[in-house]
Amino acid sequence: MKYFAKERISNFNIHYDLYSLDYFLDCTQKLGLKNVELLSGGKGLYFDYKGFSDPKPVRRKLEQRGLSCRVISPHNCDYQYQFAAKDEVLRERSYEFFANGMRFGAELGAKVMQANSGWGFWNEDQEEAMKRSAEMHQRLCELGDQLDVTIACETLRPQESKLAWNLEGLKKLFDMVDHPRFKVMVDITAMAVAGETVQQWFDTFGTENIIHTHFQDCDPYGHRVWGDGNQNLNDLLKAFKDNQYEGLFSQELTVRDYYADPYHHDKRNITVLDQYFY
Amino acid sequence: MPSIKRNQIAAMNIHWKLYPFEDFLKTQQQLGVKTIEFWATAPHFLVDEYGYQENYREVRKMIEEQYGLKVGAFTPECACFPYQIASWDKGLWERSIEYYKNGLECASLFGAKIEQITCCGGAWDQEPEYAFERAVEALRILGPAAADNGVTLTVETVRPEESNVVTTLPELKRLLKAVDHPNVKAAVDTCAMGVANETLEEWFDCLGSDIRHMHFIDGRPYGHLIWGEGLHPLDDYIETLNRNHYEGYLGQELTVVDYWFDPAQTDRKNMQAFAPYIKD
Repeated sequence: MKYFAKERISNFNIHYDLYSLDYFLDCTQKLGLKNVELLSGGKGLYFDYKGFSDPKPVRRKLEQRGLSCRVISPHNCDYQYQFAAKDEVLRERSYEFFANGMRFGAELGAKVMQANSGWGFWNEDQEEAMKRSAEMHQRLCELGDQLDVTIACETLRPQESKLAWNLEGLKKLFDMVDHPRFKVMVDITAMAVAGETVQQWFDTFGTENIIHTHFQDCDPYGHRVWGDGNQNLNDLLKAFKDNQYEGLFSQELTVRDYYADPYHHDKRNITVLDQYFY
Repeated sequence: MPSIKRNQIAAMNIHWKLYPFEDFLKTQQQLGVKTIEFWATAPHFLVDEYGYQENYREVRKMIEEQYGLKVGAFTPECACFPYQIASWDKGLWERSIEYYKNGLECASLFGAKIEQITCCGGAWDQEPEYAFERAVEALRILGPAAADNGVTLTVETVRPEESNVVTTLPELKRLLKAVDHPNVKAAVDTCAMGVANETLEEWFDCLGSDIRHMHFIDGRPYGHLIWGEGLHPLDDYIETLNRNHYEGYLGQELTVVDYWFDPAQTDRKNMQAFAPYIKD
């Protein structure tokens, strides 16, 4: 059974960390894909809290290969910057970093910026940390209005944050931010770790508010190539189809063993996905 | 019995990222630690290509006066951040040099004599030699800056999963020779060393007194583990340090995610492993 058009699959450069941007884009083109999500802020896709590099060469590289960047994903787990930073200087820099990420993404044609709740210190009042996260997202939403970019907020694993690591936490943040530019996205790994189903997500947020996915296999941990985990691909896709999901299926692959030869693992992955995408 | 001095053990805050910096300091004081290797990044201390946290004086005061600790080595984050001296991206390469220069200034401001660095950023679809040259060129610029600050820049090897250059002892030797600056020296990382099938003996035989710093942790050989959780014989390792008259720091770079949630307990267990060897 084929559920969605192949162009709904989006490649993600996260496991191409050891390779140049050109190599990632060439491989994506060879895989017959049309969309990319770009993890950015670092090499080849630089921005920071003071500004951003010229997006024109990147736009040209995309156009030359018939690719679109519909989702921008500023580093939000491993760089200095995060959405719920406590220190005031760090908070302002984080805002500027993500704001520049949004601007950089808009220049590339992205309509979505991928995000999460961020995290507080493990031993602080989590209500305070949640408030900081909501305020940060409200500010970014205002910029999103100007740039026509919408935030897609995913859940994190409980080892990463005590804020939005499950549906309950994300719904709380969603209600606190309360802005039409603030939407959510399913990360299959975080969802599986929290023991949730796709249907629960659609029941909680509605189709109109789920605008993106990180759609990879897992067991339930790990961000794996389809086949390397234990999720039911058919059932997951059927659930998205039944709920009239309109976003992309971004392949967020983070197993370190993939990094040395990401294209090899992408080919394995797409071979499996091709059975379900037309 | 092989022995180390208490102040050689340099506790690191790398697995304390979910807790405030002061909690880290408090625990080290309780554990009788005297030295820290300051892992400098958010949320503990901000440094980037533009500068560093303005309240560094207060931070140093807190470290030294409130908790009786000393910064032995200053280590700006160099694995996760967009600062890599072997990078193919020219802009990033230039920003990395500014970043590490600021790190050298910070090291000096905190009274540290060591800044720790890696050679990452080479692209797998390009010739490793190109990345090697980028690293050499960067270190030739950073060497004099290190001298100006009275700091030695120590380069460690990394695992082959992290970089396509300087992952082995012979490569590091070749790098240091190419850079040829008295303020650019070597650091042992026992994880990278183990992964490369090298021994501590071989490192001392090859580099001798050019070894100025260490990330001295247990491993299998992968992992940056507390002593006792890996496969390395601590007794033999310390004996090797003694035989080679190594008096530098033993940075405790502990990176297992499970350590993040109760870092104090992690450090306590680790210090227990060192306890029999500490001779003040």
